[in-house]
Amino acid sequence: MVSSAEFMSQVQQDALKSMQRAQAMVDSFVTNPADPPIGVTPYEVIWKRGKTRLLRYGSAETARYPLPYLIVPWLGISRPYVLDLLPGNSMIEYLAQHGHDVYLLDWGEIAEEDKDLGFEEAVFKILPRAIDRAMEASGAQEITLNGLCLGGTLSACYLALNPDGPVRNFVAVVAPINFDEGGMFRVWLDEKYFPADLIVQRYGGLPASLMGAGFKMLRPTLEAQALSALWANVDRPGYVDSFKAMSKWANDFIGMPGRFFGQLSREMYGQNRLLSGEFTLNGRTVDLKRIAQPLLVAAASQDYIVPAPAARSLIDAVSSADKEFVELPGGHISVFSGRQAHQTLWPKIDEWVSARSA
Amino acid sequence: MTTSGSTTNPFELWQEMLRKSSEAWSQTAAGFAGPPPFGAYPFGSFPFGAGAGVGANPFAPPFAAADMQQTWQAFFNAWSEQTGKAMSDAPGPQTMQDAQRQWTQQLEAMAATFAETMSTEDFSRMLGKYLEQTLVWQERMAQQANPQIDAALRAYNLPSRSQIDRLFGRIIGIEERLEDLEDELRKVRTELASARRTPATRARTPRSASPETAGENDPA
Repeated sequence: MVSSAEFMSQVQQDALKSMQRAQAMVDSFVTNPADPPIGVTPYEVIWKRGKTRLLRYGSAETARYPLPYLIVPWLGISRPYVLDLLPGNSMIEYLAQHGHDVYLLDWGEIAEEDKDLGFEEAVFKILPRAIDRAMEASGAQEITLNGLCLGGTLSACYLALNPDGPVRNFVAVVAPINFDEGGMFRVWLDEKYFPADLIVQRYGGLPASLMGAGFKMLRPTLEAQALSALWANVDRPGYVDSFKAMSKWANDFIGMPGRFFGQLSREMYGQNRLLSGEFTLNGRTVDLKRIAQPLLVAAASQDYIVPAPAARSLIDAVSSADKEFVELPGGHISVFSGRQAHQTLWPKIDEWVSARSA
Repeated sequence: MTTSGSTTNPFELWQEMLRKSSEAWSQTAAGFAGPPPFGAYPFGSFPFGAGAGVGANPFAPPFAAADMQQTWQAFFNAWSEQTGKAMSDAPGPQTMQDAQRQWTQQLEAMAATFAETMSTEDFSRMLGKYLEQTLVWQERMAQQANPQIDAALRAYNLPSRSQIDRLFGRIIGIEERLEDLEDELRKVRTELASARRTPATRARTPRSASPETAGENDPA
């Protein structure tokens, strides 16, 4: 029990703190409402195919390791600039500064005209060409492939179908493999109830508006929690810029191509065919056992989009002798773009890949 | 403001308010019959009032309205229980920091109960049926409206949506063929350069090319 004098003192301190926060909020969102510059790490577009672009960050002169590091992000859903969010808070910038020759496959803004883009085109046409172009630009014979989220699923399919390809190392970050552990999406996309075909027929894919609604429904209180955290941290240096940048990204959804969405909802979330070894592309079975490259799998402990067990299953499914699983603190996005990532995931990737890039 | 009961605890007042609003919401939801089919009601004859269209409307929800009510009632009960537990563990709103902590706990409790409710098969069914209804209704709307829109665009000598779609499809096809040709050209150049350097050795083809990729580069 506190005395009334102590209580009054506390109330005064709190009132003062609240006024300072209110002033900081006005300064940050009314006086200076502009977003901070996002995605400022310099890059060069080295290949284009339709809307897909291959971006190179850094150059052969700045790279200390001979292997190009190709990041393959998710297809559709949202934009990949979250990987290069702000200076000092960017996975791409960090890896480039640590001597890696970083490439990013940007799938572009998916719309109705991309309705026929599915696993086949991504795995047989886009990924092989992107890998070839990256090796050619770097003058390398091999590459490190880093799949993020569904980009990890696509990369795993590519590797299973091309076990003798030029990929020396494989890094899978929050990549869903065991869709039976797919969290709430697994329940919502239940074949018995979810009208995936009707959506594809009507919109040619999953439109950005539905995509946004689906992700926001996953965690309806997330925005209230983010605003609450903003109030508590508004006077911390750099917090407001991170908040603005992340808010901009988190509301910048793009659609998913119809064919890809159909395969994902029916064959992955509906029947878990990739893990059971029944998934086929162009008549060829995608057998994850054929992946033998050194493998690093990273999952996030508070990930409700791809829960850790969904990502972890890749470890048991492959035949690699050199493989490691790490479960790091954070959510699906914050594990690779949050403030703690430069102490957890990024150094882990740097250390693991550097040891295998000589 | 007067409220029923004699409680003065703000949390209990808040709970009571939630309970009443959820009941009102559920009653409104129970009368919801989904969007009517396009043209079902001639202009000026729409039967107003809760549930007025039920029975006459073929788009009435296939799930029982009681399910929705039960689902949300269960949600509010669970949320109230978890929040109550969080509140009883908290030290009390003596200062703003405590109030903020309690607010965070409430949000976490709410998130947990949302997650619990929305990961049920009932919710999945409700969501699926709602989406299905909306899509079927939109499709009917589009079927009725599209011919008129197309006619209007034709009158102004403008391309329709389907014509633009077809045009995009052809552009994508042409781009793909160009890409294949470019790949072939690169291969030939690499082989030529390699043959010039070491005539006895055959040039290496890109190692990432799968049999499918190699095949698809052949002219159709």
